[in-house]
Amino acid sequence: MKSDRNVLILTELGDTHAYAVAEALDRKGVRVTLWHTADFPTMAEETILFEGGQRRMAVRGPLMELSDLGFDTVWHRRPCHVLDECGLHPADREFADLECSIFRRSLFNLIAPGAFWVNDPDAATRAGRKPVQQSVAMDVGLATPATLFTNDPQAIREFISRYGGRIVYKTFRAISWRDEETYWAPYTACLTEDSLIAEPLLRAVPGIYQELVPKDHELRITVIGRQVFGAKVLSQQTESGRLDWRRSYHELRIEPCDIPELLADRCREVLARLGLVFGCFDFVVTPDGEFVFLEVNESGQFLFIESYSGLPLLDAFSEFLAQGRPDFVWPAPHRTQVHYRQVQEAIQKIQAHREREHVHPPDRAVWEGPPAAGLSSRDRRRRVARA
Amino acid sequence: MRKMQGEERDSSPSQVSGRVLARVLAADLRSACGGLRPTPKVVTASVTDFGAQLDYTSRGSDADSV
Repeated sequence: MKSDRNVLILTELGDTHAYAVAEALDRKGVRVTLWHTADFPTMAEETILFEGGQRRMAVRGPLMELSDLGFDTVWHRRPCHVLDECGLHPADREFADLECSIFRRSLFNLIAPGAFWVNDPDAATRAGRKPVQQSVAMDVGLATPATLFTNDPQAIREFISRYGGRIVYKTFRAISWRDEETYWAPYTACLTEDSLIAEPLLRAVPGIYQELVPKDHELRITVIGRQVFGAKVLSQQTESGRLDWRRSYHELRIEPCDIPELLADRCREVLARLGLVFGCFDFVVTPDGEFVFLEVNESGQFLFIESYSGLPLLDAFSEFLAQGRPDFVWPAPHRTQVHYRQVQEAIQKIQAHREREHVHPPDRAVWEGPPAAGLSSRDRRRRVARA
Repeated sequence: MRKMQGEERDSSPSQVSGRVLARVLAADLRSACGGLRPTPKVVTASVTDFGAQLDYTSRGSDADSV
């Protein structure tokens, strides 16, 4: 029997986390709707109507029609839209893209104003700005690395010199490039003065230049409402992930660990000040035992932590959505517990079923191979996304 | 100077004229895939742990490794 709770998940095709959580909620008896947001605007119609003193929102797409928008919880997981660029004049694409973005933001602002949002879209956008989150982390008393956000070549050179001639470079947002054979991605990278590029190019793009913090190990702290889950990431025991553990999944070990209450409280406070109710924190633990904040990801992944460490994050997160409040009760009495390993087969079935129905999310890698005849770079990406 | 525990980048492209620092320092993802050609899924897993994006339309998230 279904409960009276109603959860909406904004997602895209192939989003393992969304499918796992939807399956877990279903097994817990909670009503859940998966909104495949990439269907807009090519396969979905979305409307906001003000008329006669009333407002009405409607969304109609493959396998979904939302007109009664009585959602208790909305997981703002991975919304996107995908233009059918082949059907648009090239001169109109940027306009169409911006109009879609603004419309969508407005729709999300209006569609369930009374619901419990994980996370609020506007707060999430702000929280994604690394200088903002570092400022907040510092304000609540977390140790933070010396960090320079700039496009000033001279400031970069002086910063490198101040920090022993070797620092790390990071980007403000994810980016990758690809050709037919290869993907390139800027992981956290070591930077010396010798590896700097020409000043006009340094000036052309601001970057994040950060002190290289010595590591004993790293912490991934997943904060779900008031609940805090710690995982020790043994990056320094790997060959390939000592600087950036994302490069070492094949050899990485992650273990559950206790988090000092003061550190947990400060993580909660960072989220509160950013207007978030969920976030995944990355910390370095130095050989001296100091916890150094690196970043917080408002839409971070957690299933890989459960896979590696056994922490029951899927169950906790699903209960968080089901109960729709930061101080949710967990483990929930009298409700089925669901672990990630139990739903993997179901996820594959959902994916296979949905694969034929929805627009694929865009290939976010920037194409840098030779241009295909008659196709721009953006067309090429669109074509790849449909393949 | 404190001893740093890290590593040098391993497979950066040469410094091609006009390329930005992020691209010059970028690693070939095959190194993260044990030498295999990465799939888009692996790319998503590998490159998107950077938090909410400034660009709303491509707002991604992190290591979708499972």
